[in-house]
Amino acid sequence: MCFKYIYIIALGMLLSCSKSTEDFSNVEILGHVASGLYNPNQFFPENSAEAIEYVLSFEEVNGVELDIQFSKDGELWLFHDELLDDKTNTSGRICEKSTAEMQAIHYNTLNKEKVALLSAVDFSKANGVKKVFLDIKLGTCSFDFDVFQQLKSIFDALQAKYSGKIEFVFIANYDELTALFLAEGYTIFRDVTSYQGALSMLDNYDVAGFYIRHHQLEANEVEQLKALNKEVALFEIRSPFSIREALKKQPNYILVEDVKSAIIEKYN
Amino acid sequence: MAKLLFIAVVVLFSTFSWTQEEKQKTSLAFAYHYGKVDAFPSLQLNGELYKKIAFESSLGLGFRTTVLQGRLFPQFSVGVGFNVLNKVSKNLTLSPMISSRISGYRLSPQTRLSYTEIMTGYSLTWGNRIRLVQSSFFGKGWEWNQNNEVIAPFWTFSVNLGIGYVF
Repeated sequence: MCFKYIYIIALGMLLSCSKSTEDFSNVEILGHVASGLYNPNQFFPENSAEAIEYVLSFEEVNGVELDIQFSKDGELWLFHDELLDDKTNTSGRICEKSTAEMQAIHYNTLNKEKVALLSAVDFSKANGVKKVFLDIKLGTCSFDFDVFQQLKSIFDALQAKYSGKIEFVFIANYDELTALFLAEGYTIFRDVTSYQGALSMLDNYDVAGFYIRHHQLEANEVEQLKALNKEVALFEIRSPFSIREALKKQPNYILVEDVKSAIIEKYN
Repeated sequence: MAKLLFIAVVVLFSTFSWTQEEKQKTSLAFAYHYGKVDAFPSLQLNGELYKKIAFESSLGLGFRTTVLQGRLFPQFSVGVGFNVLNKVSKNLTLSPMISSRISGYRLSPQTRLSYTEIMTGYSLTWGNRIRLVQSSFFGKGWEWNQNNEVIAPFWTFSVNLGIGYVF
């Protein structure tokens, strides 16, 4: 009985050591919220300036995906959840706070990293040319400024500042914003939940690509979307096994929780 | 303040007297170290270097990186401490300890990552012939990316549990 288990473990180790014969060089690695949302091995909290700088320092990482939310005075802050309660030293929503209030907020970590202001993040330290996907989250607040014009002015400033160094891609899951940004020639992605959903989206908006959960899209559907000249970014990829499965589908991007595990799998 | 100092001195001398009897024997254990960078199934030595000076040393392999991903990730750790509780029942020791560990693996053809961790915690051993070992540490670590020369500091921890044989 004991030998049976030893044999199974040894076989597992041997199989895991075998090199992949597939070429994943065209699949780009993006850090979900920079350092990952469900990653117990992360050194820095998600969406923090420290996490962005750390992840973009890896030559093998192609970019990061970040979440942006407006404060009530129109600044864009990087934060994933709608409520600040669980992860920071305060409560409520970002859209209810002023810039002065936001500057005092930090994550509940030992280093007390600040919630980052998008315009204050220094992307120039990135190791090579990288992509930054910005997921626009407007939440439930109403704003007394023109949301599209405010986004556009911040995005234009960023694109001008990091021209040739950072390529910005915008995830605009709001129909009105999608139409306005496409009319201005921005690169826009949309979240969809199925291949059919992606096709339906294309009937209305000629977006550049789609964000979709890894398990909601088969390899042949990825291929078909790519044949339509659309890019595919798979997310909800956590374990080494799911990274391997996602790579085999040959999407344009994988959004991973642990970039180091993804690098190992890509170059195995 | 003087009272507290007096109590501390009495307690310290009491623990000294407990530890005077004989040297703790060395054990070799199979231990599972759960830490910040990976979980390491390890072979671990526990014993006493000289009278009350306890040591703990281990050699392990990162479970996720080595077993699940096929990338060799060895870790070596060494810790020294002071037996503050010994010979109360002849088979129980408790040692506050400083532990250091080094580890590393090849991330990609061009990048190698090395880790250095320094932690403080305790080590507990129990048993005469078959010995249970348990230790917990918390401290600071540094990841060195040898490709881009970036050193990333991080808070780290290790919770270890093992069972071994006393020689």
